[in-house]
Amino acid sequence: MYKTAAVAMATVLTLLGCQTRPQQDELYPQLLIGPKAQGYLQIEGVQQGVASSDLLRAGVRLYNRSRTEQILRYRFSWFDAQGFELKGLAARWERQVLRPNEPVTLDRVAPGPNAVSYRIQLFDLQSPTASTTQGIDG
Amino acid sequence: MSTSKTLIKALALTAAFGIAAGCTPKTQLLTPGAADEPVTMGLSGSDFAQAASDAVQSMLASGAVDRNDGKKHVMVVSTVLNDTMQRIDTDQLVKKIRVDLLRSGKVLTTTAIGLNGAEDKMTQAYAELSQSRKIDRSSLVRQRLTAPNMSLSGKIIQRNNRVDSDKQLVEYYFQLTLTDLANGLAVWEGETPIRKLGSAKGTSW
Repeated sequence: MYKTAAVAMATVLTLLGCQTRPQQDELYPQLLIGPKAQGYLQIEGVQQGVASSDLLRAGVRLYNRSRTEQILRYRFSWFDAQGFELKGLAARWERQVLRPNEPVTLDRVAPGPNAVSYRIQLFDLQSPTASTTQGIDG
Repeated sequence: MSTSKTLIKALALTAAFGIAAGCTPKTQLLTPGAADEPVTMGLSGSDFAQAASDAVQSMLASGAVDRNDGKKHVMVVSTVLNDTMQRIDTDQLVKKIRVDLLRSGKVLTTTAIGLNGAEDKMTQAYAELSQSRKIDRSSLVRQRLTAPNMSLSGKIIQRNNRVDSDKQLVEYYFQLTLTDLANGLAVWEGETPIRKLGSAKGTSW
């Protein structure tokens, strides 16, 4: 009985360890977090608002719960009503150094008034991104 | 004997070419934001993108370019000084800002008016078309140029400092100001510092 449970537990742990796909956060569906970043990111909340009258503004409050400094690679993706991704500087990959337990807020204003939804991708610097869309670099 | 010498020479040459070809760095396309994106001591495209992004985000978040009368601001690009040790075309910064402000739907940029004349010389050339006999006058549109109401100016500064004996700190400051031309007041100002620590042997220009 114990043996079976131990084997099952080992299998589950192995599968978790081998997980390479980024996962959508259950509490915050706008977040797409990479496998390595999931190990040290603690999400405190996602904010949404409006800037300059009609531009969607989104943000995420987080901190690094590990004991070492981490480098986060993140990107805000913006979508219009038809689901097409909008390009712009607000959709570029950026980096953020996360010191242990230091709260950080990342927020961006949408590139245009036609943005109605967004997604925030949070990856560790060393993790490859799952999405093939890379936006533009400026 | 001579055949074997020739064979050895040919093998040596082939090996030399093979080694040389193998040592040649491959040209590769860079993925934006990738872990292996090279970091330079000088200013690179990603630095300009970072500075432009910070400026536009700050302008939009502050509400400085928002209007409640349904109209859009018309911006003219004034002087952006390059006070660095590098030869920089400041349009690398300004163009990114213009593109993003246009996308935001808040600001249009005039290409007909500028400190050094029109950026798009066609505006002036079009005005002279009415003098030409080759032009069908009925196809001409009466020009009414829109005057700008905002001006973007700025400066890029570089400071080099030695750190210990073998490192240098290179600091760049992207300073920008948006001025309301109706009253000469700065309605938005921003500064993006970009700091790089590297070998003192390298140069940043």
